[in-house]
Amino acid sequence: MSTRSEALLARPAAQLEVRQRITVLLTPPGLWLLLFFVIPLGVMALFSFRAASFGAQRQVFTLEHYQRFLADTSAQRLLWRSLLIALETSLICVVLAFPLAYFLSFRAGPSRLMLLTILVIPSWTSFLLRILAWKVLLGSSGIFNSLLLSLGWIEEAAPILLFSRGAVIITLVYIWVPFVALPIFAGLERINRHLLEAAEDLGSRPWQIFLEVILPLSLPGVLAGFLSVFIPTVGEYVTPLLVGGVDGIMYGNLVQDQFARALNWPLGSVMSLVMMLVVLVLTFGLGRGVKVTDLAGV
Amino acid sequence: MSQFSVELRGVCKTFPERGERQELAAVQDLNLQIRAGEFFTLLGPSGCGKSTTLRMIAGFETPTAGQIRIQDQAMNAVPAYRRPVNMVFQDYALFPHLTVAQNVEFGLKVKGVPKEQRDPAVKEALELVQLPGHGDRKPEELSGGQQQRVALARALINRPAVLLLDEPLGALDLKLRKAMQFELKQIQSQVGCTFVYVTHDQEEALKMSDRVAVMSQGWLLQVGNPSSIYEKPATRFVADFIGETNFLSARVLKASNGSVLVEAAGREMLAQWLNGHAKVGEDVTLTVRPERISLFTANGGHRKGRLHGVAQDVTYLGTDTLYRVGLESGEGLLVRVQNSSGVPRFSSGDQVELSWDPADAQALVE
Amino acid sequence: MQASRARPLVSFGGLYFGLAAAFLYLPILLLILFSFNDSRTLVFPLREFTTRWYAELLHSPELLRSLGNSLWVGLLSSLVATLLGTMAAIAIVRFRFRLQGLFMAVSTIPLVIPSVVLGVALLLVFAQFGVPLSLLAVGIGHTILNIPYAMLIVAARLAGFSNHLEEAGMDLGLTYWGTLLRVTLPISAPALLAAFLSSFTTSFDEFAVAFFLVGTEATLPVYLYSQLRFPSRLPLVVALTALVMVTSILIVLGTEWLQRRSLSTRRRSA
Repeated sequence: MSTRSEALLARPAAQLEVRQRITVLLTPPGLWLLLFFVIPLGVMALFSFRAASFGAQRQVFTLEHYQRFLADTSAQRLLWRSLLIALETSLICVVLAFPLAYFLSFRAGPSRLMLLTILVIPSWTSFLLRILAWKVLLGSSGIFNSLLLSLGWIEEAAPILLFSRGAVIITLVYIWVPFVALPIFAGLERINRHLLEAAEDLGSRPWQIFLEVILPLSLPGVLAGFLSVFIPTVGEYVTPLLVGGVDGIMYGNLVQDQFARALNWPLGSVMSLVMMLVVLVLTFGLGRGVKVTDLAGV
Repeated sequence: MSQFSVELRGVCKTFPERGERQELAAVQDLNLQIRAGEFFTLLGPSGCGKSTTLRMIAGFETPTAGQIRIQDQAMNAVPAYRRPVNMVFQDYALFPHLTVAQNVEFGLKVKGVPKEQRDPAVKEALELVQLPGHGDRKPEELSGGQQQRVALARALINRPAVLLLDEPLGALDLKLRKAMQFELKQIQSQVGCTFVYVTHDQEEALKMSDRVAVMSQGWLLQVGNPSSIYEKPATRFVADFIGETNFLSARVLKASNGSVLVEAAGREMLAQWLNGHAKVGEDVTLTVRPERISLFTANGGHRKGRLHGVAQDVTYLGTDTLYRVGLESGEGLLVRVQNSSGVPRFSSGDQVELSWDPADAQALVE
Repeated sequence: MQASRARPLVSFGGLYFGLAAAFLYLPILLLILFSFNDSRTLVFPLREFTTRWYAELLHSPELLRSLGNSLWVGLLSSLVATLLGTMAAIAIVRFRFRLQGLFMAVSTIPLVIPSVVLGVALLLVFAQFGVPLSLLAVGIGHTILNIPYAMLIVAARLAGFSNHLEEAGMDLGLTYWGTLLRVTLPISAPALLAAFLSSFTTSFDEFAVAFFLVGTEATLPVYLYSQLRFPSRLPLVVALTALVMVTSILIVLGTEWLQRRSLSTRRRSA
């Protein structure tokens, strides 16, 4: 009987030790995320019900900002437009990046990692400067125009593209293409090459192998690439500020305005929450089967 | 002070399972006594609980119930790093960031043994496993067999009371495995410590062990020296798992101490009985090893004590020939006959007679 | 698949790759070109070759200060993100605990929300509790962005080696925490470095969150943004980022070279 009681005593001790390890490991990151991520989101939710950002009105609970947002068709239109811009940008990125990833994975041979690095190196330049580069390229005093002028091909400078929706999309595509190529490449690299030989052995033509084996198997990587552009682009506000003009303004600018200029924090909170929810719903709707590691590109 | 190096008393281990199954019982009410200096093998198919048992002795798993004692000390509350045991892992678990010598001296360094004492110990340990001069290599530069030896040296240098080996030869090819089996035995006799060895390879277990414990589905079925495990299996599972054997269904006609008279294959015959009190009329299984059956040319007439049958399949195996004989009862028996001059050979379709010594036949509970 | 078929000298794929590379490099090369052009405006035709923008960099205290700020924020926030991410990674890969799914979800959600939301939320909470906006606030924001990456990078490495290595450490007499320090972390070292570098590059170039959280001291991207409105400052800014790009390329290629060299010397000694 003594055996049994000793065992009963010993068991919680060992479990306690494991629990202690977990606690020590999890407490710092858990607390940090709670303090600086979960609570801030909670405070934002709280703010969205406040009558005003400052003064006595801040204690008043109200649904006014939600009503205002629901009544504000221009804000909703802007959100819709931002989603469309994000969709177009991500789709163009995927279409441009897929052949690149395919070439690297299936045709480039042993030098493929070096070639991949070559694609990524430009992204080590400041994000703002890369936007600026396009502003310079597209603007009326920009390189296209001044080059054409100096060659005498055109008489008068014209801002052909700058300050438009198109300029925003071109710039964003430029910034994101390498980051879409990465998860697609990773997905293609994971395809067991014996599968292709098996398909060929079973009589598939090269295009059938591509359509029926490679493409379906690469879909998780493609989706990860798509989402890794789509998510940040929905909330984008810097690119529109620099190259978008009136025509290229996005929802993120509206949010930023509430905080930086209008100082209507409760309304800004409502808008942020709405955007966050829309993006989360779309991500979890589309992103089933997408590995979070692919999304993070690690 | 008991003579036991390792003692397990009523040890149970259940794993909490997520999903459908509530709990998975890995080890059930296990009682074992392993003597000092013994080469003791835990044998069984994968999932039988042998590795879990070994990991409980090492301290990586905690028993759900029961007690583990090493050198007469209760170990349940002692963490792995304070137990006087060391382990050789199946995948070797050599630290990839350290050299061979740094791997081998790891345990001594942790204990704070000064370098002047560590260096000769490392040299000695590497010589013991026949890898002198390999200390500066990285583990990845060595072959599988060499990595295995490093893992052995890394464990043995700490002079553990018990060395635990978890299928240490599983990843090696057949030829290397046979060489290492021999070498492990030699090393054990040199260092003299208790070896607790886990394997699913019955041939390996029989060849190397002083005693073998056969496990299945968490239960300990039989403990004994290799010959008793092979020749006196306690259950049908043990008989089936260890080597090749035949089974005939039988019914008890008469029971006496240590033997029974049964009816099998339409005949009455005597068999060994090791399961305590046999009940008359009980259905049992008769088991006979193929090499214990003799074959004779059939010459009409019925000789007492012989079964009749027809050779169906004949497989030539070099030293032996394996016959599959169909009995009149419809059952089949495997018979292994050593090839030598003077032994008659049969072909498929020949009428044959069979017999065996009742001491070689054993009746088992279903 | 078609090894027998002769490959053309320049394949279609190779041509496409070349075009893509040109698309990615041209804007940057143009910027670098203009950083050596003796004109305050970025227009053709080019003027004289000059290095005066690079010389002027040294006399632009605000710019250098923001560069220093960004280096500090990047360094500290990446250290914190790598440390916390590593702890979380060990917990999720090596243990099973209650609410593990919830923890995984919360720690990876920063990946799937636009960073403007994070910036705004942190701004609100700091305002609510009277924490002044500062580089510290920016650094905290960057840790939240980077913890998921650090955690996933380290977790991938941990999943890549058997926990038998850790058991071997304890079997040889190390305590659990001793094993972490002397076995787990050294083996994960490449992943820790990768997590740190990834966090640092993200932080160094981060604008969307920093914009809401900077106080009186700007980070480099925030400073650059403020300068974009003054065309006369552009060549200077361009020169600086050209320098930063070249430096980061050299660092990355340098690490790669070091890794290869250590590999090849190891082979030779074998």
